[in-house]
Amino acid sequence: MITAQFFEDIYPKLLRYAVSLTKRSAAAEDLVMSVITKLLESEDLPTDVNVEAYATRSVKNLFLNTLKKESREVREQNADGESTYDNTEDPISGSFVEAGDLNKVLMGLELKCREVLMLFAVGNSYKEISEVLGIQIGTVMSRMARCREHLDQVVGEK
Amino acid sequence: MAFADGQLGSDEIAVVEAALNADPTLQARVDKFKKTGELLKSSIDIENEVTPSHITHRIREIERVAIKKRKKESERGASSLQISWRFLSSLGGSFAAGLACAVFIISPSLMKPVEDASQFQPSAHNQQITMRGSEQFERPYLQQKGVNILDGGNIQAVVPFTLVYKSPISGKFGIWEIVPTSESPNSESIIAWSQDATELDGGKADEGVYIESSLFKIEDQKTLRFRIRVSNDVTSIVHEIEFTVLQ
Repeated sequence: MITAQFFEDIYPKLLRYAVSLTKRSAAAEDLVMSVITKLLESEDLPTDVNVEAYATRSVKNLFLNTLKKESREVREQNADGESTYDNTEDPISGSFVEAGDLNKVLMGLELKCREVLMLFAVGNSYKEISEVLGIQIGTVMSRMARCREHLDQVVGEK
Repeated sequence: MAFADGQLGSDEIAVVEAALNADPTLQARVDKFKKTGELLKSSIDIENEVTPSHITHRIREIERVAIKKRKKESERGASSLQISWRFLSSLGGSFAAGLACAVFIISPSLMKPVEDASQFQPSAHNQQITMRGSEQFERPYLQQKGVNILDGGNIQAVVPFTLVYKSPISGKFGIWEIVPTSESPNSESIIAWSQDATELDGGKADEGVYIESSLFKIEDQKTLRFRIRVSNDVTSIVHEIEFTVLQ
């Protein structure tokens, strides 16, 4: 049985990861709390899972579902002629989290880079990142190498 | 990069170190990855980040509510097991016979779950059975949220419903949920309940039967199918009704 204490311990990591997805601290907090609620209420969580990885992956899944839903709503609103909102590519962008310069740089990167770099920054190994993202470890490494080079380039320009 | 991040085993480290010695230009690449790695980790001091107290309180509250909810569901589950009902239900069911408000309640302990449909074979001492449909409905149907749902209609999961069978009966009646199995598509392996009509309303159910359940909770099933059989030594009538369950 997962306890509240477990989530209290991993909350900062989950929140950081969620921020890397949403770019907004309030939206990130909502995502994380929704996942924590779901998992604390869940009775049929597989016993052989890495719960931290599972929770992190749940944050990503919920984020993607929210994104899909918002994109659909935006399309519907546009079809009705009620809104000219046109930001379907990243509907929850627009305000950076209050953090240091590096965080601002990170938030300027593409989603795939933001998430892989944030997972690494909060202390995950390549293997743990591959588990969270559901991709091969080789893919994690190649993506991270590309994103780190990009990061180095952006930081160097500043 | 894996070398710079310290994620290699000793064998692999030796290989990379040998490559670095052979090609000094590789060192610049390693240094670049070391720099970005340190930058990333130093910018986020995750080890010393503390969960804010208002979040801690919220998480504990969520846990408290979840425990309470699980306990409640567990109690419901235990109750439904006693009557062999497939649904996770609190079968506060009642049978009501007669349109003229001759309503009575039968407790779950008085229901007789049976596992053998053969007991509904006609027997010599049952009375002549008479059955006719009501004016509006010839067949059994469900009522949910005040709406009559005929055979083939859609019902909502979790929402309580009433099974209505308006027909005067004598003899015995039984109601099963039909649960197809790999051996038999019409298996009656799960039984709702059975009752002798003579036990209703002082020995005769003149107008019809209402099977009312205050709380059904349909689990992971897409359809709900009932078989209702009424029989005496002369006649045996079987109704089958099926509904699509909307989750």
